[in-house]
Amino acid sequence: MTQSSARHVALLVVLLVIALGAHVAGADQYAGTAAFLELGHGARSLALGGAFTGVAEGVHALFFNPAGLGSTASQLSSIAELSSDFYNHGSIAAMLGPFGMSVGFVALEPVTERDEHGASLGTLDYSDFAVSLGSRLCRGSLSMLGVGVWSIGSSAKVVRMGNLGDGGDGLGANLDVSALLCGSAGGGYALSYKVGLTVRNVLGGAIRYRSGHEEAWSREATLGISVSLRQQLLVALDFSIPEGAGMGVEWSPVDEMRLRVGVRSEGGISLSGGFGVDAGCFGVEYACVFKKHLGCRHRVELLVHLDSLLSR
Amino acid sequence: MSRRHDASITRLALAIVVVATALCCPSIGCLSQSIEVERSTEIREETLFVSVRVRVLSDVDGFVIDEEVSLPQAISVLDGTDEAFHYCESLVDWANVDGASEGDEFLVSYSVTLPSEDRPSSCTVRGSTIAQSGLEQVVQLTGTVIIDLPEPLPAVPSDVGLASPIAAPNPVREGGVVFWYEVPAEANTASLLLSTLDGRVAFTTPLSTTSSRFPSSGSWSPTDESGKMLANGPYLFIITVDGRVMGKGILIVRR
Repeated sequence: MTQSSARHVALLVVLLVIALGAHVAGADQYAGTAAFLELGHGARSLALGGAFTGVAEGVHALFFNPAGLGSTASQLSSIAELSSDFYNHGSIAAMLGPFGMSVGFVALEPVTERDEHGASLGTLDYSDFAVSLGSRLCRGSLSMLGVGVWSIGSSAKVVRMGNLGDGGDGLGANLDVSALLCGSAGGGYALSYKVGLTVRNVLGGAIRYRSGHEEAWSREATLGISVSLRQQLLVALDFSIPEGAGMGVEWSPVDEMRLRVGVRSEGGISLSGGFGVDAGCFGVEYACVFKKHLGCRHRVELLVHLDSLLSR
Repeated sequence: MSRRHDASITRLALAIVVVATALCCPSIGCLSQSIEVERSTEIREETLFVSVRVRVLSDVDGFVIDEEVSLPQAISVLDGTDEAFHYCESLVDWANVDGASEGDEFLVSYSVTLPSEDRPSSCTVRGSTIAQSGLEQVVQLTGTVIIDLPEPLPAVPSDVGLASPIAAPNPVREGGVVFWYEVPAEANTASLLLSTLDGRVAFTTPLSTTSSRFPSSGSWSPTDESGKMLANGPYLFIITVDGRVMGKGILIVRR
């Protein structure tokens, strides 16, 4: 290991210790702060049961593990949620080299405003909005223990909660840090693996509302592992503290197609499935998530592989 | 309000004991000392039920009350301005009174019929009870309690239906929320489920199939299963009946 690599590893350890310390020390008073951010994932990660911290590929590494940004070709993503009766959700995300950015929103269908006796006062509109910026900060090689490449990343997000009048809108920002280790085994790298760790909301103030109300962000740490066999079969696992675990399997019968199933336990059990198809410089991803009493949510994502597009 | 109410009940129990001691010692027997060990209040429809269980701390010689005691002698209910509060009717009852010695417990309970309209915020109940065994007066109890009356329950909103439960107020602020719902008459079980928009269940609770609101009185402060307050934002609420989704809606938490 070179001196430079040793410094990077030391930096990684220090960052993670700080992040975990902040996680342990943090006491969030509210459950589900800025919960709408959970909607902003890609269809691939959704179909894999949210087990994406150890996959960390493509543009949606920005949310799950920004240390994985830049590990694949640059992408542009557009997501739409199709099936909700109550809200519309969409986002646009881009990854250019090791940099990532996304803009997302959720807008409710008009909600009937009611007084304390249930009398209708008319309807109100409600929306949340988020911008995320992230980057892989450094990367190096590490031959010991069979680890080939390590990387560290971070992302920052800014949210605007609600658009209600009378002080009902809030603004907040926070920072995630992550690390990713990649290795391989077997002749011709038949077996490759990744281990990722992401700690969310390690640095940032509370979401402050104009009413004076404040909400601390919920801190969360996620460990993810993925194993890929001949780049045809992928198995991914995620475990989160304080809550949440997911597992997903992806199979690629041909290079241009991927089929996925997943299961997740977080506030109940959800089952998911989906597929992805590539056609030249474009790709379409689909995911369906089923949860008891909530039915199916359908998500469609259009991907543009920028490197392929620009090389034409 | 419940703390004030509890304090009022305590005052009633103490008043009963003190006045009874003062009035009855010259006669056959007296409750020289007692403590309140349990009290309960319950509102069913338009009636307030109050029960106070009292434990005797010292023996009372010759204090025997049998089934022929006459209760109560007089009860008057006044509103906050000491005007006669004609809406209320009350009945004081004793239970398990069969002698009194150290360690015995007996129950004093009464009920007050509350007016559904023009209800004052509080009323005063004054009781004067002479317990007799045969022709002989054995104890006289008097007491006064000031009751903070609960707000009358609001009527069910007219647009609540099987498929259209209602959360009110919406958006909900610090004061809590009430869910209004309707279930078929043949329903066996019902439940309320609250989840984030991405489907993470934050709270579930069984619902009464004979009621049309949750909670049955007061309001519910939005919390998760562990009691942690739910953050600001939109939540899905779902009413299920016998395991099937009956209705859905959106609740916005906004502080």
